[in-house]
Amino acid sequence: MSFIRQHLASGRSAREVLASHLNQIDALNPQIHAFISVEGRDAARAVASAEANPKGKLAGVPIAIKDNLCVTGWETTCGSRILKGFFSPYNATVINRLLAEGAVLTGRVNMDEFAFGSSCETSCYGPTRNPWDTERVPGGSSGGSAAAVAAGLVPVALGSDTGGSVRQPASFCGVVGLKPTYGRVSRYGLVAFASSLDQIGPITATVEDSARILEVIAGHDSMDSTSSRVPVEPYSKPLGETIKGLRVGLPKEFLSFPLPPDVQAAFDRSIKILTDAGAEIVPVSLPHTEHAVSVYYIVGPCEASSNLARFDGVRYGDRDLGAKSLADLYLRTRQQGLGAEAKRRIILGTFALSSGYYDAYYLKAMKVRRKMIDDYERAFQQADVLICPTAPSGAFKIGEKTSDPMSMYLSDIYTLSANLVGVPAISVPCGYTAQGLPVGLQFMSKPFAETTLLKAAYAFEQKSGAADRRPKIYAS
Amino acid sequence: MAKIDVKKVAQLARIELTDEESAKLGQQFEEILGYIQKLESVDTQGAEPAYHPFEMKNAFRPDEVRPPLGVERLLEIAPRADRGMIEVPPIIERKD
Amino acid sequence: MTIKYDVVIGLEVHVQLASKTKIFCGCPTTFGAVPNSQVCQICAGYPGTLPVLNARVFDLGMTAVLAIGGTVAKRVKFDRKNYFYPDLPKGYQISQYDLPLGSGGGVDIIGDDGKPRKINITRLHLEEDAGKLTHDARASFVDLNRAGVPLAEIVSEPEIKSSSEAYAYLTHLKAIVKAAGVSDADMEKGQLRCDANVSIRRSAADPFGTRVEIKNINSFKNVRAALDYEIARQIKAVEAGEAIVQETRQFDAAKGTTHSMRSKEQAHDYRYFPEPDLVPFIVETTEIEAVRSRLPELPAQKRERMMKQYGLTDYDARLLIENSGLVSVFENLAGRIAASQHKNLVNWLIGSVMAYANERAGEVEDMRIEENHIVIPTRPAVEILGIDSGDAGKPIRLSVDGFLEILSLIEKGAVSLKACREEVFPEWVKTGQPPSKIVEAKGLGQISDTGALESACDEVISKNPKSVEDYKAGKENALMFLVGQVMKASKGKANPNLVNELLKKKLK
Repeated sequence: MSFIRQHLASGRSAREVLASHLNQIDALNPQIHAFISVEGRDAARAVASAEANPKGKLAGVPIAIKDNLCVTGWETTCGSRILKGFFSPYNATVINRLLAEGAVLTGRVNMDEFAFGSSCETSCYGPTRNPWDTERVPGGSSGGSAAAVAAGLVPVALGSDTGGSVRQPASFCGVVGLKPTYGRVSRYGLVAFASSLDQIGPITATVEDSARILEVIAGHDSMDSTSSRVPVEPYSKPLGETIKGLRVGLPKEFLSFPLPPDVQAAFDRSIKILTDAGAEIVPVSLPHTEHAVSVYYIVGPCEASSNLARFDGVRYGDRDLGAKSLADLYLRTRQQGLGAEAKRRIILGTFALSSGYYDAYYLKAMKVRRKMIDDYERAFQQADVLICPTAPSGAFKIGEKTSDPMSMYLSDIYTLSANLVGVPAISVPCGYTAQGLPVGLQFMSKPFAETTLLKAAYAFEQKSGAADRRPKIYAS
Repeated sequence: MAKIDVKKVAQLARIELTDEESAKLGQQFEEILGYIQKLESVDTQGAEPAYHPFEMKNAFRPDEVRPPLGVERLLEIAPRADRGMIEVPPIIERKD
Repeated sequence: MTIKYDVVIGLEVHVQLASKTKIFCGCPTTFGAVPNSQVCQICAGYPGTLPVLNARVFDLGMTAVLAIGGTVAKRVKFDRKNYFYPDLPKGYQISQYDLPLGSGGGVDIIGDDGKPRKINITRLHLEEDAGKLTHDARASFVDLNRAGVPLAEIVSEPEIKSSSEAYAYLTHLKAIVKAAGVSDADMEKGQLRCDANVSIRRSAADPFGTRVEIKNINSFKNVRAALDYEIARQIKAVEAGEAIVQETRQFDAAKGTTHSMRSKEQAHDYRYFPEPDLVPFIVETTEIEAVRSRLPELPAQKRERMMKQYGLTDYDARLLIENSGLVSVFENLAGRIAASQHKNLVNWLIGSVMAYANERAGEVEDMRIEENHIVIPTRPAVEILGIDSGDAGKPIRLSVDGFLEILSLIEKGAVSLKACREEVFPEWVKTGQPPSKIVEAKGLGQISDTGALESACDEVISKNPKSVEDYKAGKENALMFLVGQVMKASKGKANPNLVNELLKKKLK
């Protein structure tokens, strides 16, 4: 049941709702470390937006904000030491839109440093733990966002998704994670990782809440040149409509990746749920899928290496104050302030853009990207949505993949393509592994077809019964 | 296959690495580049590079003033400031 | 023996576009503001910020391309130029690499050989400016006001052959962009900056020599000085058998020399790639034509008009056009005098008036007529090498009435050109006394009364029959001798031109 709808109908005051969530945070956050800071403790300030906009679409709804979204007066650090001490002087556009509808900003949630990661282990604040099993990762990079929603600390959290960073943690934590079409939501105020891939997306307990958040944050923004003028639709209205006749594409290349039997079983069961609801299964092919990881790990680091050049200790954030020369200021500030994964990606990206290598790496990757876009365009002529598992497994153990970057990168295989080709994608809980860890089903639709996407996801959610269990943490 | 001169590229990116970090990265890059090499074999004849996922064009803003941050705010945020400006270690250009 | 070298110069000129706000954010671009008072989170490169292109800047850019006779590209995009420096907030500059706004076009100059020549332009592209750094012994300081200011970079082909041609190119280019309303192009305010690429070779048939880039040239005069020094330096080095190092050198205005900027980053790898936070710009032909139709009268058209309307020669018209203020003063005053006087007016403006102004303050930027005076702004003395003029910095004011009086004295022949130039004019600018009074006081009056001169001529003719015969036989020198005799008899006061004409008439 949609929290937002329920809450708006309940008539409960913003203060009351905030207080009960703060209690939940006090009780459970120490075990999962989803929140880095709880600005909502200044309750008067936090509920001011709800009191000023009592009829707002999100009036009184507590929302957690990923640490890479700028909020005026909040320390915005992207999980990195290099931004310690940077208090943002402005709001991201999405923050302004949430506030205008009365949302109650509750606090900052944890993330992989600069969004580089799929496990929330590279944060300078230490890892967030999965509420389903605190020895395991919540996924990443929006691990804090997903864990916070899964543990009931907040009903909604904003995350960002560049290669799966909203969907994969949603899958690992048994909640819903949406990555809108590229350009659907303004990136102004989102600390950039890869400018042509990034999107802000909501993590929620239900598909309806996801749709309701999208309605508020989507739409053209004059502060973002890449934001789209395609009109925003009332995404939550058509939810519940039948998906009879909906053409659900099964991309054969995704299906060819090996899956553990329990994840395979959850996926197969999902197909059956959809066909029982009247959907038509259509085989499709996305021939360049096998190259998604390679393309992503060139495009992402190339754009990131340039986007992170501004973190040099000169105008904000942390600085090596003892540096005696400019050269030292740069070298030492960045050496001390950036973590290993950040360094790895920056150096890889710098290399791929450098003289003599640009054509073979960056340019080549962009051309293969074009081929992938064509693949998806063709597929969406035959199908209305595409489905596949969100991740190749349930949540892995903390520390399990940290020494092997390549293996971590390969686990993003299902989610990367949506960012490269710009299509919207959503992960919805669809079952459990043998150890009782959540498994997610990913839907994709063609650009700007979030209405179709959400309708399909909603219809699935209603029939899947996957939200019948609760994370182990509730038992403690 | 290309081999990354880690120290040189790290300098371009203004990141100081220890010898240990440099060596480790070198190894990891070999693995990563080895994987990425597959791209070479993809036929991209006639494919226009896709810098954005779809064709977007002509995003402009009007030539209108918006309030600046203000000197105090900017200097407050800066790690070190003096004389109304952001301070950095002295930059000396060596002359002939 | 002096060996002649073929000098090859290309100029990169950065012009600040005259929009109200910066290229990618809404900060104002007014000159001289308190440091860091015209900065926002976007131009300061704060986390999460994004650029959005100023429509007016794009429009001004297109106007500039058309004004220099170039072609506006139908598809335009921006690229990132990546490097680290404290005045570059994002760690990259948003510029244009392979799809610049404009290509082609050129600037017409009179070459050193006296013939008109077009210096071709390779390209014009848009980019953002960096902030400003100042230094002391202890630290360096960053002012970001200038970061994000819109620039058009205009790159010439390496077709300039000397420092004087470079000067001509710059003054004409400035006149064009000013006339087009694209920029105020005031070098003093940093609105026009110039970097030069210089190389030499033994002859134009040889391949290009090693190129040296000269930066930090901050006035038109310094362009000449910097290039002269650098060319001489290169020639000296080559003659001594040394190789020219490809490098960037800075011009030191106080010393008049260039020196190597031997920093570690001589070879930059800028890792250009398309700016992903901006979208491409597609320009329709109709838009380009609309901009073209709005172009005001440009210097080349003005030159033709001035030639037609005032009967000026191409040479004179060009000299006028070089300084947009000169043209406006000329047109203003031309309306007050007879058409036969126009040539005189031109000569005096570009001659004595300009020379006086240059002597006083080194560089004349803009003249205008104000309160019936010719007003010429001047530069502070401290900027100019070797000039210690107490009142440099204050504008020069010359009374229009006095100036027109000088012109009229010349026209009437009341004083000789030489005397007027060497004695009357300097006295007038110094004291402000009416020129006719000065002529009287100094006894410089020239006899132009035909009657008086006629009798003097008749006398000389009768006293020098041999010369008369020689002249009639075709010896022109004889006439000059006769003129000289009349001048001697009148103690130099006769109007020599008039005497010449009278004698000719009488000896026909």
